[in-house]
Amino acid sequence: MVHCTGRALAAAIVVVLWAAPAHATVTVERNLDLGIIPAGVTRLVSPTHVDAARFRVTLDGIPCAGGPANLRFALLPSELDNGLGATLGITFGATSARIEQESNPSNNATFDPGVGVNWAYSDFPAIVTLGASATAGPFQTIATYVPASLTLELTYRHILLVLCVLDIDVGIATLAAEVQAGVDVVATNGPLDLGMLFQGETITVPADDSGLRRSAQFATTGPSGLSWQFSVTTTDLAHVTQPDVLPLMFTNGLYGSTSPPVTSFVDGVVVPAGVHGSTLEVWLGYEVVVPPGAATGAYQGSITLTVDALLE
Amino acid sequence: MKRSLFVASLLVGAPTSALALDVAPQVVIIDAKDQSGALLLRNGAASMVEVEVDVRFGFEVADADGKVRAHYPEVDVDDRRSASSFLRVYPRRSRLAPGEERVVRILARPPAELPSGEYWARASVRAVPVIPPSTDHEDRIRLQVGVTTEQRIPVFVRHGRAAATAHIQKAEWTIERRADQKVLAARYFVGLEGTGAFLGTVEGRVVLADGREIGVHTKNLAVFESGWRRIEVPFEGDLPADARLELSTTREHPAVTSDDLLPGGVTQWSTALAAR
Repeated sequence: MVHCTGRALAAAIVVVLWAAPAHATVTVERNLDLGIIPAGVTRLVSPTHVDAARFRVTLDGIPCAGGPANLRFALLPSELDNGLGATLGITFGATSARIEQESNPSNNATFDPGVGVNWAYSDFPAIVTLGASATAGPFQTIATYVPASLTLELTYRHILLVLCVLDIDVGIATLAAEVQAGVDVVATNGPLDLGMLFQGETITVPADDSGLRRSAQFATTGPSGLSWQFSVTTTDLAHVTQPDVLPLMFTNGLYGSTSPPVTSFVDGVVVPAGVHGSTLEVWLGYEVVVPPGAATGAYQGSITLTVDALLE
Repeated sequence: MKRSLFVASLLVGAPTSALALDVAPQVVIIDAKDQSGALLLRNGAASMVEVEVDVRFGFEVADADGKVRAHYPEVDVDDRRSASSFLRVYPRRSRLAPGEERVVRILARPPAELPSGEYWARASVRAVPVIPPSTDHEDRIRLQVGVTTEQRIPVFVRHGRAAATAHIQKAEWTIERRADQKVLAARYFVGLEGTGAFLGTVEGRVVLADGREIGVHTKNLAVFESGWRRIEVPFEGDLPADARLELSTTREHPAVTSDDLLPGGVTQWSTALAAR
């Protein structure tokens, strides 16, 4: 039993009124957006990325002494679903979350969002950001994955009627992603430097790469549900400083799922869906004739593989 | 002889970094609400690449044998199905560092008087490696061939109401023996009804009078205009006189979600194989 005089009680009320109780506010300023993830690709959003979730955390009034506030993500999804049974895994790492003092961003720390971080009362308002990583498998269902919630939890002590009270405030953001299949074409051997030649020579590079010079090699990857249409174009090799040109001619091609591929084509071939699965190799052969009077020096041209994605 | 060996020793192409460009999605669908679509480009190579994105009128057609290919009309200004005149790409050109991603927007600004329906184009993404010119050629000739890729994907613009139904109307077929398997190779005519392209699948079944199925095959079906198509249905055993060929369409396609399919009907068609 506590006895106090009317004067003492009035003084206590005055103290409490003067010392306004601390209160926290967690504001969601941005949701976590993993964006479009092509099938077969991992998307990493760092906590400093523009697509990371962003929370503004304020702590006003007089907090209790005796310890910092704690911030942690109490609710982190491990997967997103498309509402029809397909799921997309989401992971968070030791550096997926970051906190910084709003008025002094150089005062910052990265932390494991599931573990949390302690933050001094004096360093609020603070900005907390959260990133994540998601991997869409090569045959990931193409869909928009339904946003899931993630919760930032702030635990702190504040004065309430002269008592030191533990309080929790939360901010709830969402995490969303969209998976789309893509069409990938890789020129596996890059630009071809054919080395030094003499006037009057003819270079013939077969698609099977049996010569000293390399044929142009490509790999195309995409979902097995699409057909491919290949066509080849070339540009003449132009002298880099003079008007001379040397014709670059496509001679033959090979395609298939083996390396080297075995099915030959000349141009404009269509490979139906499902024949070779989702990955094809394409090798192209070519020929260059260097006339006797050709200017010496460097020539540049290109050989282009065009891949049309067909829906049938 | 000495000269040949000298040349050969110089002709082995020096390895240079490859070019790898991922483009997603594989189909762009732009509706009236958003009036824009996006392509995500990612340079998966270890070197810089120049990328150029463009759109032009194009769609899939089939020849009289039912073989499908991409078709790009030379002049599209008068084709009511073309979207190319009101599509804009931004940015059209960019350079991507290794690992860098870029979102390219395709903006649709259809004229106000444009009739309702679906309009088509194809987006072309051309990736060109950056090749520093050689300077060590002395008095000889040096050839540098850039290996360039161009990926083209379909773009659909929906303006107002659009629908599409594919009607299978007739078929011709032959029985072919391949290795140890018999195949019913059918050529069928599919008519397009509506104001857009039909995207879905077609299933061919060989069934007996008692309903028993002895062969089935499913493939994608994309109908931009009426025409012939092909389907090959492997089957087991002999083909009795009462066998039937059944062809049916479904509104499912592996490249697009069900939400992105136009409304429309599905069709079923069948004929007695002995009736040919």
